[in-house]
Amino acid sequence: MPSADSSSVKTIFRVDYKPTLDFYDKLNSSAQLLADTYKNWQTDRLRVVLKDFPNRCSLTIAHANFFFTQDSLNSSENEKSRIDEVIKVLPKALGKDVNARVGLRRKYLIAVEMDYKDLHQLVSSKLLNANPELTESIYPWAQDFHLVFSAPDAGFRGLTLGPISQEQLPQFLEPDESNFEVGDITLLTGKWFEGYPRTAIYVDCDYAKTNIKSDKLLDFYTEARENHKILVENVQHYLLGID
Amino acid sequence: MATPAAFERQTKVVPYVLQKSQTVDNVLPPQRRWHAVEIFQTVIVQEEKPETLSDFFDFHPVVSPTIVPAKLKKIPRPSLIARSFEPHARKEILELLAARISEVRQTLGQPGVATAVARLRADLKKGYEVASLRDDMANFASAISLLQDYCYMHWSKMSADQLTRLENTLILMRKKSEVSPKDITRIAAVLREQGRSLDYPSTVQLYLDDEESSDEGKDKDGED
Repeated sequence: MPSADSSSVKTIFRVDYKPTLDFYDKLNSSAQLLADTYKNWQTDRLRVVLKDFPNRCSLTIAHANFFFTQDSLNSSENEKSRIDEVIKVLPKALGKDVNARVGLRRKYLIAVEMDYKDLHQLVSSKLLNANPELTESIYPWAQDFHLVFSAPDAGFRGLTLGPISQEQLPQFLEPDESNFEVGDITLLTGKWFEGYPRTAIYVDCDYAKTNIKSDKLLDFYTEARENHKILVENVQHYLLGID
Repeated sequence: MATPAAFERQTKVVPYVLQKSQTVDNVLPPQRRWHAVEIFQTVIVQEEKPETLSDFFDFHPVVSPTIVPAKLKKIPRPSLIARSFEPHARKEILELLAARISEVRQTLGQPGVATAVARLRADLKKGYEVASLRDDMANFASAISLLQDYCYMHWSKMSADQLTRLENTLILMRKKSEVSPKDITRIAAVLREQGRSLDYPSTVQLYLDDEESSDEGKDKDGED
C-alpha cells in the first residue's frame, strides 16, 4: 500500500509574518544564505524567488511571507530537507520571532486502476447521499463532483475530496511556473502530466495554525506532516477499504 | 385612475411600518404614488423600534457557538485496500446476494418464501449480467452462474443450515483480493457436496439445460 507521503504531488509550505520596513535591508542577504541549494534566482527588488528546476521546487521571500512550493511526484524526502533548511535559516535571517500564520498544504493523488466511470460510482456511493433524488433532481447532468469541507478555525482549514481523471489534473494541481524553466513551461499544457495516474482520488488539504513562534516552526512542520498522513490514510481506508 | 374600491379588489393589503423620515412621497417611486394614498390609508402605524435594534436580529438571534478542538482519529484498518473496481463491485453484489439468501432463510415455511426466492433469482440474474460484462469479473460471473444453477434446482428443498452454509461461502469470496479459477472449483465442490445430500446427481453433471431449468421452475411454482 503506498504511503500518504508517496501520494503527495504538490506541496506549499507558507509562513506569514508582520511586514516591517527593515525587511528590505535583509532580503538579499537572507536569500543568499540558501543560494547553494537553489541554483537559480529571480528578483524584482521587492521579493526574491529562489528556484531549483531539477527538483521542481522554489522558495519565494516577500515582505509579509515566505513560501516553498514543490511540484513533483515521490519527493517527500526532498520536501522535508528543503523545509527543514528554510525553517532553520530564514526566520533568524529576517529577524522574525513570531509568525502570524503557518500552513502546510498538500495535494495528493491516490492512484487507482479502475476506469473513471467506476471510480466516480464508487466515490459517489461513499460520499454522496444514497437518495437518487439528489442527483436526479438537483443536477442530473453531473459527470464529476468534488466535496469541499471548510473549517477556518480548525487545524485543517480546508479539505477537497473527489475522483479525478488525468485530463483534469492541470486544472486542479495548478503547477507553479516558478518551478519550471522557460523552455519547460509548455510541458504544463499536458505532457508534464503523462507520468501521473490516469484515474485517482484527489485530496487537497491545508493544515495551518496561527501565532507560532519561529523556534516552534519545526515542531509545527512535524505535527502537520503527521496530521496529513493520518488524514490521507483515513481517506484511503474510507474510500478504498472494502472491509 | 382606480377607485379605492377597485383597488381593494385588486390588491392585497400589507401592513407597513413607517420609519422616522418616511412619507408617502419618498417611500414609493413616482409611478406608483397614484395608489399610495389607498395603501397608506390602511397602514397600521406602530411604535418605532429603537434605532439600535435591527429587524434582522428579531428572527436571527446572535449565537456564539463554542469551538471544540478536534483531533483526527484513525479509521480501523481493513484487511484489504482495493484500488481496482472489481473487488468493490463484487463486494456489493455478494452483500446483496447474502442478504437475499438470509431473507429466504428467515421466510422458510412461511408464505413470503416465494417472494424472497423471486427476489434472490432476480438479483442473481442482475449480478450475473453486471459481472459478465467485465473482463476482470469473468470468474466471479462463473461463480454466480454456479450459484444460479444450484438455487434453481434446490431452493425449495434447502434447510436453514444449508442456506447459512451458502451465505458463508459468499462471505468468504467477499474478502478475497481476486476470484481465481481455483475458487470456482472450490465453490462448485461445496455446492456439489450440498447437492449430494439433496439426492442431486451432481458428480456427473452440475448444469441444467434451459428446458429442464424452466421445467424445474414450473414444478417448484406448482409445489407452492
